[in-house]
Amino acid sequence: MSYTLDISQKAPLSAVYPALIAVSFINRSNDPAVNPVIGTTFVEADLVSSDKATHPVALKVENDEPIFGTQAVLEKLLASHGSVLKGANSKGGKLEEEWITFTATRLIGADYRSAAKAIEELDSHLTLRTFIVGYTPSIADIAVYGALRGNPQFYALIRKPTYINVNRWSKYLESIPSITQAVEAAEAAKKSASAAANPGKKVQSG
Amino acid sequence: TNTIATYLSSTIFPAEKYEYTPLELALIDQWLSLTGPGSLTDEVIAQLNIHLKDKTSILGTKPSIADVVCYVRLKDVAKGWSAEVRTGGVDGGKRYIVRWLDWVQNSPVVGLKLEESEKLEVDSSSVGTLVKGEDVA
Repeated sequence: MSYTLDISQKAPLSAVYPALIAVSFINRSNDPAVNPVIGTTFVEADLVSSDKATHPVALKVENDEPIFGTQAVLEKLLASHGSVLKGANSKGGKLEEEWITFTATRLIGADYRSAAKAIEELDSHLTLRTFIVGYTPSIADIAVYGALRGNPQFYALIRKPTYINVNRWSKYLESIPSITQAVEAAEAAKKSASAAANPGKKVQSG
Repeated sequence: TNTIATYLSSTIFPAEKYEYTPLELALIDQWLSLTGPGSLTDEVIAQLNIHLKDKTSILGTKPSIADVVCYVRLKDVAKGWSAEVRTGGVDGGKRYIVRWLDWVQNSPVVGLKLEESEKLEVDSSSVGTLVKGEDVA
């Protein structure tokens, strides 16, 4: 079965990173079930579903209807690529689903105050845990980290030692090449998109 | 700990997979000697707890033999810790050591493959809301 992830260049990165990092993570895993690789396409237009709603991401599935939106895409990837995206010792993927919901409802599009509250809960959860679910990085870590990374305000918050457990967790995730490479790819795509949109202006780097 | 020692000898971090910088090798040496017989005092344990506060492994993110050996040395000490010593008190107890011990004994990256009965019992959710306020300005 082949899959392609479409990413709207108009969408905020906090809604883009979770699915994009998950795809990068799947593609770089050594699991033989991951075949063929999932393609990613950055599109300039909005991604519009049949009910006329616009979405940051869409997953095109061979011989099937496309799936729209961060939460639905992450749930689909967890179902189709569970061997890669579930945490070791996880109980059937239920906990991962809860954290996908946490990401979609508490972090993406949240204001600073409610996000800080959610980060505080995450910090408490990570006190005696290295990863959000089980003992390996899972889609729960990817979803939450992606949403935090994509929002400069939230990202600044977790870079400080205030939330020491979240801080430690984020440093571990950033030691994983497939995660940092996905972030770099999205930033590069965003830059080339704004360069194309403003051909007269110089794109600031860094 | 004989069983664990057997695992220890077979647990290798192969050079082609894990390359350590001179600084990392020095850190490994430092923690191996600090936690050695006769040297493992309460003060060293407190130091290790602070060291692990912002690190997943002794080196930060990379696993090493220091995690394995220090795990063996610390596990039995930690078995005697009350809930208060583990995660309580104004400083949050030895929570960073407890979290790290649980990671070492379960992480496939470290690869210890211990039986459940050999592991330190850790209830990852036992901290609950106690953590709140820690380090928060």
